[in-house]
Amino acid sequence: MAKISLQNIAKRYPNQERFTVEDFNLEIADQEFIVLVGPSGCGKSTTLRMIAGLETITAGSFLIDGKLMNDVAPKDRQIAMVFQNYALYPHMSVYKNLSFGLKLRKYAKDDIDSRVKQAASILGLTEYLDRKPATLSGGQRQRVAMGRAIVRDAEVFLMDEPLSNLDAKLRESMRAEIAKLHQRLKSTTVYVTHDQTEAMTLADRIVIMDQGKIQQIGSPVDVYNHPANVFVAGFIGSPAINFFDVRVENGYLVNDAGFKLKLSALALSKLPNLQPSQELTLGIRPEDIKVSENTESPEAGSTIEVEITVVETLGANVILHAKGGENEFVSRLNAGQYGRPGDKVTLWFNLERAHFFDKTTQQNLVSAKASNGDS
Amino acid sequence: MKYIGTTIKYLLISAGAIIMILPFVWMISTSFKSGGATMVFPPQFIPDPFVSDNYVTVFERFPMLTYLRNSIIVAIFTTLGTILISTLSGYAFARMQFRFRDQIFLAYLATMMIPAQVIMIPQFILLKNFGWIDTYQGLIVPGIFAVFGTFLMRQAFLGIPKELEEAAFMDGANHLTVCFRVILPLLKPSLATLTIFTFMQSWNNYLWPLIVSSSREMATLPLGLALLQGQRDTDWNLVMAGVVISVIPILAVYLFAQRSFIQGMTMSGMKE
Repeated sequence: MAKISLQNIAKRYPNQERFTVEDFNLEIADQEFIVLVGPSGCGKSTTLRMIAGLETITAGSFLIDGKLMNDVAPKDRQIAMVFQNYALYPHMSVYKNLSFGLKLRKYAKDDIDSRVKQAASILGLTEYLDRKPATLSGGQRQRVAMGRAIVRDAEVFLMDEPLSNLDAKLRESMRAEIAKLHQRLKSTTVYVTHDQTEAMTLADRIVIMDQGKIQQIGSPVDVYNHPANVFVAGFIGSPAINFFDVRVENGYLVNDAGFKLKLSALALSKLPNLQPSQELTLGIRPEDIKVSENTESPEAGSTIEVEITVVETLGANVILHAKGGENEFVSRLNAGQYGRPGDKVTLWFNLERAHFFDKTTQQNLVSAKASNGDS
Repeated sequence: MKYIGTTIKYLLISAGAIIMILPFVWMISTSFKSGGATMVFPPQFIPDPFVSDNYVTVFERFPMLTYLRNSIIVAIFTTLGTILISTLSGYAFARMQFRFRDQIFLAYLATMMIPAQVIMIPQFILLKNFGWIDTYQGLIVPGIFAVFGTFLMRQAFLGIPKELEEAAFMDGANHLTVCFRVILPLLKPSLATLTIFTFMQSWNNYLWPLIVSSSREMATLPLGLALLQGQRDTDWNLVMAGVVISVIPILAVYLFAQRSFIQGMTMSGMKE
């Protein structure tokens, strides 16, 4: 059982004016898998290190199961951590790396042995127990780092970009293993990454951070379908969402760069407070832009003529880059032939799945609740 | 053509090596000469007659065993003490957070600029008040607070990734455990350097033992070797036999420390 509560947590380093983390509020349920995600320097690692006790907390309260932990030493927090560079003890064998923490905590010798062996078998490290870290591959080192955390049965697992030093293929398989491991151990986990795929696939809830502040907290599906603001919409999703600065004119979304789309009734109904000629940022995901030949009789005004600039064939998908006026479009399509660079095509926009952001506040104009009601 | 450069290089290096090694050869050669053969001209490199009695005589005529014992005790404890103090202070200056840490470190470093001769008399008076004159403490303790050692170890600690300590803290370690069981095993090259330097310095130290020890009972080898030289005439063969005896322990320490030096160089388990 470990519920974590972060209340108005803030961090400011000495001699720095700006807060690295500010006004951080998060309740983490027992057994929940939370992923902190954001660009580098957004404060996600600092937050994790405050939970670990490796950084002091400037302001706010950090509680585990209702107990204030702000000033408790790392070793007394019942927390285990996996570091980005693994931080294995180079002079110790895998066995000693795994048992070091247990020894320091004065576990009985038999107990240590059985825990180490069990962790090693879960992680497939049994045959490497006598090896030194330097002789292991990246993936194996990563497993040892995980093993060091799981032998202790810690209530909370912290992982600081644990996969970022692995190659793409290994990263994918380790990602699946981490998910399996969590299902098996059910420890409350806080995981930091800048990789949105890791965030989307592993998390029960994602916390998206930027410049020290939480931008949105929600399930992977929520943050994808209902981004709270321009930053979240742009950060989550690959290829990235299309943004257009537009204004509303006579039921159309237009801009001076040649953009003109008719607002459907349904889309309009989501925006009850729309002012005439209000400036908006329109966000529309690549999969919600189609080549119009492939859609049946598009509604008038819901298409734009463009010229293809780049075609990326990915096997199952085709990513089409196109230009219409001064606007650039990225569309994700099912595999097929759509033309070559220089060809003209008509793009159809599924505005019902588009996102509308206030141009100045950058906030989503449609509340998550309202859009939930639609789907 | 291309061999000429290499040949010249090797000739120069060989010349340097011969210049370096000649005094040692001369020392060993002289230690096996008879009293009359030490000063003959042209000099003999191969002793004729070959006399090995010098090594026995030097032990018979002088308390070499006492000197040797004193030197070994002083050098070993000075080295151990220096390693302990330098490791602890180096770790503290590198890794612990306290007020004015860097200023204190700089002030400590600055004491290197004070010549030893300046503090010799005050140090002597201090030890006299402690009642440490002509004791092992008097010979050892002033030598173990080595600024250079602290500096060396601090730099070595700074070179170890912080995550390693943090991982150990998460594992339940305290500062001492981190310092001695997690990081120090990784600093064997620095420890080897510090060991060689300190041991040699202590072993060869002449002035401080001369000041602080007054009896033959507490004399170290360098003092003893000085006693081998008479005022009017000196048995150089005996002196050289004594010198050979005094060089052997240093060679042993050097060879021993060199091994861990190489071992330390080849160890690395961190992902860069």
